[in-house]
Amino acid sequence: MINEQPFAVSFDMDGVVADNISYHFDAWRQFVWQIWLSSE
Amino acid sequence: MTPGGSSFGKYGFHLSDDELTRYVNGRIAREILEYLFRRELSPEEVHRYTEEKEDIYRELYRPYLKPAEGLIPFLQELRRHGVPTAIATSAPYTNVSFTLDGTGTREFFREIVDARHVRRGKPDPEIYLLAASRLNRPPEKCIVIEDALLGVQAGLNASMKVIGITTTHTAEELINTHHIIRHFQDLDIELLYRLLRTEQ
Repeated sequence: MINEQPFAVSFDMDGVVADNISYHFDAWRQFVWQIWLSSE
Repeated sequence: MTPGGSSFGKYGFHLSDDELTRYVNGRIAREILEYLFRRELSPEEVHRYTEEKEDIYRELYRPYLKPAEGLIPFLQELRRHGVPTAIATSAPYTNVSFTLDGTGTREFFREIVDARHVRRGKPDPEIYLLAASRLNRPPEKCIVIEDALLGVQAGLNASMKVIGITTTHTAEELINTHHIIRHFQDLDIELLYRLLRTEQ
């Protein structure tokens, strides 16, 4: 096992390093709402 | 209309929960914004709208910012075994700093690849291939950890082993991955070696 060539690990960030996707979705909803208000 | 309804009045479309989960999560901001506006945006517009959205996000999440369950001990284990690690995210750099510094995890990642470094968002494999190149490992010696369907596909398109974490999607939705975890306590170095030895 120790003699095997070390591999690498790549992490996505949002939803992996932090469990934060629901906050991103809420932010997109608020962003859309703000754009809608500014377009009226 | 409420924020949960999420429609652009004069643009006349709805940003549904399904669109957020399946289309938005994992893409770079320019692609998402041009999808929302249904037109090509200038770099200035992309920058301005991205900052607006991400300001909202950081304000919402800042009080709750913390590393995912079991992440720090897992990163420590990887470091003990000399496994190089990278962040490969479609997020803008302002969010990368916010998240990595806020969770105390920046020191564990040798490389950071973000939206500034790629032309095409996930599911294109560009971001994972660039991370592998920077870590000096061929794709077959790389493991990707993803929550998003587009990100899972990006890892598969890069010919890497993909571990799905069920923070955003169910295990059934992540069925295309090579292994599924609920949190990082489900992972250890032996499992990663076994995963790399499997053919599929």
